[in-house]
Amino acid sequence: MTSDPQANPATDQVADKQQTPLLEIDHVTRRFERKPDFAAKLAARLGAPINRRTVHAVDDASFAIHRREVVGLVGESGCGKSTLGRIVAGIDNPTEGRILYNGQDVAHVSSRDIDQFHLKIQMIFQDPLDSLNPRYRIGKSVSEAARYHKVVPELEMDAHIEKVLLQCGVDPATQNRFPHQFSGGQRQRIGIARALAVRPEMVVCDEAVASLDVSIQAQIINLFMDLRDEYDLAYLFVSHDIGVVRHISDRVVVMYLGRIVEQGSTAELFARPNHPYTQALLGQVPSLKRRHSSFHTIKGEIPSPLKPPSGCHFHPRCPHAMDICRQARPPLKNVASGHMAACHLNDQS
Amino acid sequence: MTSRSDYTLELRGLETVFDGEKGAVAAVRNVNLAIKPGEIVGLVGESGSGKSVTGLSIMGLIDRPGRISKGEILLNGEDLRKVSAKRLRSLRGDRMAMIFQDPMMTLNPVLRIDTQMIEAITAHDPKIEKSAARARCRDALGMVGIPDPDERLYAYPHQFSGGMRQRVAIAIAMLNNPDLIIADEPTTALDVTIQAQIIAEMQKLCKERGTALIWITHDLTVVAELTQRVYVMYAGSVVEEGLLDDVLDHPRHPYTQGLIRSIPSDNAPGARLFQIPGMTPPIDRMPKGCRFHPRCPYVQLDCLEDVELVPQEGERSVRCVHPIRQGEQVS
Repeated sequence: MTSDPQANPATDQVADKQQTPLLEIDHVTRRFERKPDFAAKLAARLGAPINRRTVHAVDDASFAIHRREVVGLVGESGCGKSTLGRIVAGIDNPTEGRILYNGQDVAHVSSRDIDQFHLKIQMIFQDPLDSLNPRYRIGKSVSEAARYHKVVPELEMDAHIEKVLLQCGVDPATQNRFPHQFSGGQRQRIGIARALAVRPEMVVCDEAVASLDVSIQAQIINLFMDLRDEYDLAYLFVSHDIGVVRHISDRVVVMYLGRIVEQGSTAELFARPNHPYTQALLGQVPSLKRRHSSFHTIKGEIPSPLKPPSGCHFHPRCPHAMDICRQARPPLKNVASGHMAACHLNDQS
Repeated sequence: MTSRSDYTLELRGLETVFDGEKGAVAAVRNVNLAIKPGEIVGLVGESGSGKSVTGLSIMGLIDRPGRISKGEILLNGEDLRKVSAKRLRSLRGDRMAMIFQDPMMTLNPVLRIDTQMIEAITAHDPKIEKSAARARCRDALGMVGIPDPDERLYAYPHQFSGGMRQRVAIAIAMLNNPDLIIADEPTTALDVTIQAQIIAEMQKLCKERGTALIWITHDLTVVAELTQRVYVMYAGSVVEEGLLDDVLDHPRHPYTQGLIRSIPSDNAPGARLFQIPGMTPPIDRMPKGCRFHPRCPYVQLDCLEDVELVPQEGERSVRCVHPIRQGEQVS
């Protein structure tokens, strides 16, 4: 249903409601806390107030990803999009909230079966050198997990790895080389092959095309789309590059300082951005069609997550800020079918 | 020494080579470029195209095993290849300055911002009073949009965010009011919101002060926002140059066309992107003839012969045996 981005979003939603989402992120919060050191503990003993420095990297985030769906997660650096991506991939755990995979709470899966869950969600990183062991030949890197988890019988393993490499556009004859012998684009293909070798149902891409040249980026984006058709993959596409996200995603989730401020189908969100932050963010994306323009820039920078502003986190930079924005956190509300935004302005009219 | 030239900078046949075991390989070949005061020019290319080496060559920052082997680099009519090291040093940072992708390449992590900025002034004007130098630093920080410049002068680089650090680097580049600034991917590592702020700032500064700006980037969309003219580089050579609108609307070199067509934000969402097959050839294994021919969808037999940058109608040139006619496009 979601394969054709031009498909009628209304019918898509009907279909969505009928099936359990592949992955559901249910009120997930991730806090990072600095443990009090010796001096702070001593001071606390003596009656000094404890100064806990807590960062809400992700603050009460909820959304779902369906089979074959590509969800883009965008925001500025420090907004928590990578942390959320890591939680989805099972590398990090939420402080609060649940991750449901096929309707099942991942936290309550027995330790024996948990591997199966983790295998189904794989991750691709910005720099594949981070995820490929520099001392392993790439054939070994790609096949290691598949072999350990016996994804295919050992006899078929070589054929399986060759097929995966070919599909990702890597010549299987180069299996015996080391990662440094490949170009950046080739390494990213190997990183993708490594993720695909265990036959995942979902792939989390954290800035997977950010460091690539434009022509190589186009090759990798096309590859992602081909693989989706081939394997019915779902993607969570974490990126600061809004042009790429718009191109590849069915739905887009916008984060600001740990909170989801808006989400909706790509077409709807780009045509009618609701939240002032989304509007500003989309207005600053350079495009070939905008020439010699002068930007209306958002004032200031993203505030420190250690001391987030009260109420709506965006209010110090928002041109429409009102009194209530400084006091209360706006809830995420439906503004159109399947389109949600967290802004007090929506309660005004 | 006087400015007999109308151009702030003129490159004539610049060639930069790197000496290796198998002899010298050229990273930049026969590059001609000219920029007038106040003009903003884009130098576009992918990794390995020689765009950064061109920038470093202009600044005289090419170290062994690299060397400039041919050509002239005329800054206000003065050939930088012929001047003494002392003269070059006095020009660098004063008449021309460079901004790098990573501002920490410019900033010293253990010195306060004011120390570094005042040094950049006194290096070229030893007699200036310290209070006057400090005032200039403060003004420069204010100009690039850093709040509380008086206070921020006392900060260390790590106390700034990435975007703010890049502003400090820009402020240092602008300190001595140079004639030419070379910016090498200055916004690539930044968020779009910060990138937009910095682009707007640079546009304003260049207009106000008549500074010539060469913006080196792989991102055509940034070039579209910012520049008036564009040079497209591939495998060490300029393959196409011209006014921005001409080049973007009617690219005549197949590589330029491929680049434009592979940008996601300007394609229909979900549509297959045009992809240029293969990748940039390594510097020591350049193909014969037109260096783009192994990747070119329009390739013909005579592409195997060497091809020069040929002027076309209008203010543009193309290095292609069979330049694309208007509307021509392969799928």
